[in-house]
Amino acid sequence: MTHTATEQTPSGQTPNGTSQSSPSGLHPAADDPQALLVVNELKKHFPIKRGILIQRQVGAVKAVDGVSFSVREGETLGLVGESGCGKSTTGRVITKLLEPTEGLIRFEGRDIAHYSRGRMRPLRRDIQMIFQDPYSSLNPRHTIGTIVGAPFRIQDTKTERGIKAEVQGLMERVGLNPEHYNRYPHEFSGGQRQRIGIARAVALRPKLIVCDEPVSALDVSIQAQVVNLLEDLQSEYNLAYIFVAHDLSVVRHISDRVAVMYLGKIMELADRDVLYSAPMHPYTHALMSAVPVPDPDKESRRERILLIGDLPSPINPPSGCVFHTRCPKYRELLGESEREHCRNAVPALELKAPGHFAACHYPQVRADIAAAEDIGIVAEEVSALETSSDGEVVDASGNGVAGSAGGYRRDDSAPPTTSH
Amino acid sequence: MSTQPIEVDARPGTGPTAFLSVRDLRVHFPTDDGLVKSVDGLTFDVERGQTVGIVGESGSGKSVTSQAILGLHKGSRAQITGEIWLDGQELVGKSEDEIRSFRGNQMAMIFQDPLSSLHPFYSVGRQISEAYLVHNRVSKAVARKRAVEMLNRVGIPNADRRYDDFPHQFSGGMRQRAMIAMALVSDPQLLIADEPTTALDVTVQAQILELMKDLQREFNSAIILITHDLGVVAETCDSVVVMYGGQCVETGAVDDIFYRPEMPYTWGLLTSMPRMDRTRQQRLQPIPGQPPSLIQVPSGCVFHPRCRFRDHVRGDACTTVHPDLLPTEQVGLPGAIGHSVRCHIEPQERRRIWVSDIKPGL
Repeated sequence: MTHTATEQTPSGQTPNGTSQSSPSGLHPAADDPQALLVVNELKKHFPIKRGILIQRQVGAVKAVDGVSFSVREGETLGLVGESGCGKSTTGRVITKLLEPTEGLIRFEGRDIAHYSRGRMRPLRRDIQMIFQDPYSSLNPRHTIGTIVGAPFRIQDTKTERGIKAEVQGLMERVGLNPEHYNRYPHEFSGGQRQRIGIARAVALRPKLIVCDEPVSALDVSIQAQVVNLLEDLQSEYNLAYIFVAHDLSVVRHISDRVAVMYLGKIMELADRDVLYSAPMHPYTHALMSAVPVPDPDKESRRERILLIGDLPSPINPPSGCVFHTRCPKYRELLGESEREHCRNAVPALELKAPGHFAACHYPQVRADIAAAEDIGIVAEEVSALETSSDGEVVDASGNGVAGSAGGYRRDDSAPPTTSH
Repeated sequence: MSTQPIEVDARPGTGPTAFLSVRDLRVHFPTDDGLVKSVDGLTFDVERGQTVGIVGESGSGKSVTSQAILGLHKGSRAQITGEIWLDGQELVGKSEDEIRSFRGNQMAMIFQDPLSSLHPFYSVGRQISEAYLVHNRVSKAVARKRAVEMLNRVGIPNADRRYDDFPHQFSGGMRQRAMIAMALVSDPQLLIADEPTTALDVTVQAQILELMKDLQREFNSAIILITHDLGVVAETCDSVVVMYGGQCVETGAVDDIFYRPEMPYTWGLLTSMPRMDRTRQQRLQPIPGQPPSLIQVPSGCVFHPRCRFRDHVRGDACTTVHPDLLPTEQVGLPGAIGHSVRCHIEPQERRRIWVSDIKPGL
């Protein structure tokens, strides 16, 4: 990365979307009066320290670097991205397992970003977490009864006898045999352990559950069982989920809205059907085109956008748009002046179409990437989306961005080169 | 159960004429709790230039199969019977030393987790040239040159300088590339890739799969790809072996498995995964229950405890009679030769269920 980060941006551009904030001081993506959870410009930087006696901070891993979104009651927000993009850290900061460096976490009107452990405790009834690894997230020395009953004991909400009845009810609800109350985690399979983790999370009837890759350690057939269980519990208890996952197809299945993250920032945030049928950000395009679909014919016809190189280091992220170093559009389609803009100006996560936020200077809807013709959204909806956004969203060359659904390499039909 | 005769593939001209031929392979592990039948009567062929996918859930015996082919069970308590023919040579009866001359030379493996399969103490380049030195009488300088060449070939920038880097200095995708370079350094004709991209992100997975396809075209190698991801299979494989409970329950060309599957387990795999390329299902249809214990393998059909279609079979054949892997007899359909299924449901009935019940719901 030869370019130094420049705070100065060309006129009319707003770094990090700060100056375009609404009167309430919130980022537009977070400004929802009905929201259960509001996350505004959230940052989590892990300090890197040097020195033996006097430790100086010499840098920071910018794991989460200015993330804004909101979650409504009973809604599922999917957070997708590759490893190292900060999606899990975001989840952990929201549940206050990690202390945020900066930013706002407003839950039911209260800013909990800097709450102490003691002040958080009553809130733990409302915010829970399901972990990825069903093997390391359950204490091997405790029985299932103890594990699932722990929330009741800590919160002191029930008598000991009441706890047992409640836990057995929960076990039955998540599809475990209540007679296994006194068994230990090692006596259960991966899928069953994940059900135990889910039972523990829903025990106190929370309002929000952060699910950190809850199904990625499970086999396909078991994965579907757990996904269905999560959906059932959501409609039964009106839960809101933040569903952190790297699997785009699972996220599409379970989420109402989806945020795509890259290097600690949200690249694109939209309703599920909009995002998957009319993705705008070049990174989303690359991510979607990389998912192999279980259909040999389609698979052989599909154009795959291969990203070149590896994820840049979050210690020293690229200047301007963090994605520009790997962006196929930047490399193949943009002119030098446009590239300079990408290198120097941080694109804000802006509303590009109704309900569709993207952090890109030159976004473009690519319906051809949207995995299938028969994807959730119908054709009229796509065209309605295009016409409605035509007036507002104009890229540098004066073309309506949403209108052109062509590929990046319009004059070159050869498949993208493999990375080197 | 395990007394059925050797099943022979319906494909003409197979048997030991194929480049790699696995015949009625059984790998059993005696344990204190009983005999674990990890692989129980598996038969398949791989030709040069062809990619065969082995699909199944954890514990279905896919990795044990690949380890048996590479002779990695030598010295363990595993009881291996059956035949494995590689280029006209039988591998099962060979001694450890004889197998070692094949391993890394004629056949090589790419493991799932590149961090734990590379030695953290030695530089990446040294580990690759070591693999070359074992099988070739050349000087260290020549081996180094060869290793750099391979690192270049798999797309590692500045290969000459990265040669002396240690595994921890490589990213996940680069480590997997280095693993591939190591596997390919002696031009193996058979490459076994055990979940080569499972630990990687989708964008890196796309790079690695593309690389493997390129290299296969270049070296005309036979590839066995072990995976649980049907999307990866659809993208890379020519034919597929679907494994369940240590047995092959369905095998055929990739189009047979995706467009004309006949085994309820394959249907279950297809309906239980959310798909990017179809209208979003309101609800996933999981396979109920748990994968079987390999110590107490279910009687009759291994899949019967989880099968939703048992009422299509008269009597109690599903629970008492072990079905044979039989050709589907779809004569006239392209690619249907070699499509075999282990199921008691009548072929016409299976096709009817697929067309009317399963396919529309996908």
